[in-house]
Amino acid sequence: MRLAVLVMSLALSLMIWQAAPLQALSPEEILSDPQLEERARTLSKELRCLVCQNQSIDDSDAPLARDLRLEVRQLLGDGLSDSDVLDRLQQRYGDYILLSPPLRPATYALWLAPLAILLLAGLLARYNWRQPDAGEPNRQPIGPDDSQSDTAQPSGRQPARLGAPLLFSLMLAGGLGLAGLIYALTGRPDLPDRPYAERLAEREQAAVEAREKQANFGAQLAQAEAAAKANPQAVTSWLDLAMAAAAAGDTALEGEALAKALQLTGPNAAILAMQAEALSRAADGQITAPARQIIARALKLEPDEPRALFLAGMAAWQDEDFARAAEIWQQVLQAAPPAAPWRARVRENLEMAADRAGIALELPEPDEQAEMIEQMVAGLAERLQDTPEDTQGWLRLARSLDVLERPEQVFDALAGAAKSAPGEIALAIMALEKLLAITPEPDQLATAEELAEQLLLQAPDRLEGLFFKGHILRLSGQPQDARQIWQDLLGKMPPDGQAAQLLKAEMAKLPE
Amino acid sequence: MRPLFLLPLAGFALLLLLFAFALYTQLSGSRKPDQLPSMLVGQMPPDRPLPGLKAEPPRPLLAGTRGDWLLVNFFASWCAPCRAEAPALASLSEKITIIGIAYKDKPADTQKFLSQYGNPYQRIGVDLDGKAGLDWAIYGVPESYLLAPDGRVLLRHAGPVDRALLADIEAKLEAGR
Repeated sequence: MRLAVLVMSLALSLMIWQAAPLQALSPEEILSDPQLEERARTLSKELRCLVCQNQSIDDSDAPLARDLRLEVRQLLGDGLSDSDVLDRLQQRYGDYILLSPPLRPATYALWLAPLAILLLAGLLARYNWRQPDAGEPNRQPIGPDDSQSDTAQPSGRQPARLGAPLLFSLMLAGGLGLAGLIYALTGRPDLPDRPYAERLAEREQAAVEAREKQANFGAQLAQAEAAAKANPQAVTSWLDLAMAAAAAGDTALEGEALAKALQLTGPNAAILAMQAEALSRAADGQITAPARQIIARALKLEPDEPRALFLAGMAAWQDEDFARAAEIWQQVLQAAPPAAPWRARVRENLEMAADRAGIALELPEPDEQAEMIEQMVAGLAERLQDTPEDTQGWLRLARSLDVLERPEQVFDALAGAAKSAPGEIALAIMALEKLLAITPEPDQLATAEELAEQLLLQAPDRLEGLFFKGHILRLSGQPQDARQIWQDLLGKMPPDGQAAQLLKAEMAKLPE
Repeated sequence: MRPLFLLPLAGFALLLLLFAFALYTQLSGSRKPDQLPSMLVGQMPPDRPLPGLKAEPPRPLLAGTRGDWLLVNFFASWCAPCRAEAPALASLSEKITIIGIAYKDKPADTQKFLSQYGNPYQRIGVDLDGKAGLDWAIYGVPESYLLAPDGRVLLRHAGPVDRALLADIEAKLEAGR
């Protein structure tokens, strides 16, 4: 019996030991700056978890405690001092959030009570000690009392020995029966179970992904920042930086980068709209008054700027002017390029706004929409026949065709773009790369050859030209010439590089 | 000797009086001992823009509600007391506008919950990451806030809407009219 109890209590303590969290703080919460993290930990120990009420948020595993820990870290990251953070939380949650409440009239009783009790106890003790000590007349000695017989005791215990296990089993059975009854009445066996291990694994997976994503964004951000610093006169590098900062959630840096870009371009509707978007993202999606001013400026410069218009619709939506929001979003949809990836989102928003405003929408069905895109692409292609020098037009056409998944025509459009701007090597390379994805017609091969020659002429030190030339020769049925050119190319490459290996593999595929 | 003997007793009586006074001030009015006081009472509540259940773009839930009595109710499909308070909310929704904030709940689950237990809400915001909960300083769900027509918070109630709260709200509505 004793052994069984010992084993049971051991098992129980083992279970408790296993279930107890070693630390409430989970790794993805920890700040990268060790000093800030240290401050966050110290503050967390002073803040009460409002769910458990007698634990600090540093100790507590409750979700609210976790939220508060993250909030503390966010506030510290925003540059608030320790006492500011405590003040902020105290303003929101009251004195109760502080584990040691401040001394103020409402808490005098709390702070002074221990003192008062101590004082009273002291007075009482003093009073008692002052009593004259008159010996110990009524004291009884401690020890076994021999006068009573010890035969009665064992006989009295005998029935209890049998009764205790019986009582125990009865209570156990009764308890189990009661639990079963309660479960039968209120239990929901139909609900799916979510084992803790599964949830824990899910949480850990999410944490790992979040950390990877953060590291990824961080690397991209560092890269973009270096690029912008190396090339401070290029608008695109600042815009790239702004996008990287937005992805990494650094709205302050995003705003700076956009301001730099704006300095270089002068008033520009597209960049202004991005600025307004950054502002509203920083305000949790709310289109704030300053954002609205910027939107108005952007729309004055360019009444059809899609991002600015979209945000203007958003402002109307937040003002609950759904009819106006629907009107603006409809305008966005009409001005949007047919292949724009964000069309679907605007369309969804438009449908919701129209629904709330009680307007019947006449939107083309997806089938009709595809037809419309088709028509617009055809129109653009026709127009470009008359204005082949419009490089941007060719690129737009290429993007639209890419969405429609027509690689052959994408090649044609990119070739058109490359021909319209003979100085741009990048365009020629883009077109030739697309060649790798298609089975070209004879006239496309001729165009490609032209582009490759042009590339070799303009940038003889770039190896792509030789590679593409070989590829074109192979496609034109001249494997011998292709082999010769690629052999030549191989001589110019680092011999052990991956590119050289790939090229060798391609060469091995050439027919003899 | 006699007066000295009375001194501790007198001190104890004083302490008792102090506690009684504190208890009285704490318990008088609608304060309940199991409820933490809310700092929002008497203040304008926060109004973080929240997305809707069907992924509608975020908007402030309280915009354009000035002049109405409002009950802002934090709830979640995973919270059992929220099921318990559903009938009370349904009856209350006939008297005042109820705005729901789905706290840390997936919209699909919220929708299932609403189709099962009824939807007393005129508007619903989705607070997936609990940021709005932090703004309002909630410490559990369900939690409800009564807002006066001037937009200020009149009272906060933690836990399911019960008969006492219903009576309290009705008394406040009567007094406000």
